Amino acid sequence: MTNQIFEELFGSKARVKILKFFFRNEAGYFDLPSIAQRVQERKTIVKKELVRLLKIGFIQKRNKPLK
Amino acid sequence: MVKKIRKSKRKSKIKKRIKRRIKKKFISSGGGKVYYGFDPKFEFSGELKNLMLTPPPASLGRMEKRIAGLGRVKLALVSGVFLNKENVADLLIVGDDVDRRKFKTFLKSLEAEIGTQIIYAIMDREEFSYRRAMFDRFVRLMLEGPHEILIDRIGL
Repeated sequence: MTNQIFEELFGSKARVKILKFFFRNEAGYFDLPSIAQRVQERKTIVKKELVRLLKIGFIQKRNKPLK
Repeated sequence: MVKKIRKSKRKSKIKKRIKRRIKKKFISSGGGKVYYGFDPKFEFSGELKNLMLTPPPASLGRMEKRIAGLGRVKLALVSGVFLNKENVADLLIVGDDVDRRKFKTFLKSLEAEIGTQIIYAIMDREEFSYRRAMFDRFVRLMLEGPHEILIDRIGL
């Protein structure tokens, strides 16, 4: 039920899963294919959400997987 | 003049060829890989995190149904991430003939929903009774620690 609330509130099932994924893996950096695989969504959809999240400063990007 | 045109044509041809090969993944584009991670400077990071991770991460009722469909499951209990508590594992399933392939797909979708990897254990009834009888550390911690029973056909 709570998941349904979040999905309606945020307007996207994929977005909810991606947000949770980053909260649960706060310290890590992941590339697009592995994020898509872990949240079980299509890469094109995940890419779109990542661009959005990047724009609002929720996530950062870098070219190395580790800190 | 003619020579110059030919030269530039040749260059663009080579560029096209390289692009095609990158597309077909014969060669890598080199260093173009981007990694994404949470930005701790995000304005509402604390509030949003609380909001999203405090409630139970998955509907236990729906989980119960899906686990029951995996095979002859005698016992299923959740702990750890499902209850926002610390424990040795998040999921324990006791059952005979549990369909491993079905379980894998179930696990994958569950991990996607929750956003992290799940630590789990599957064992048959015999192993479970044996471990329980000899006060096996793992089984004891799962049963004595914080947990919620989804399926119990053993009579714990």
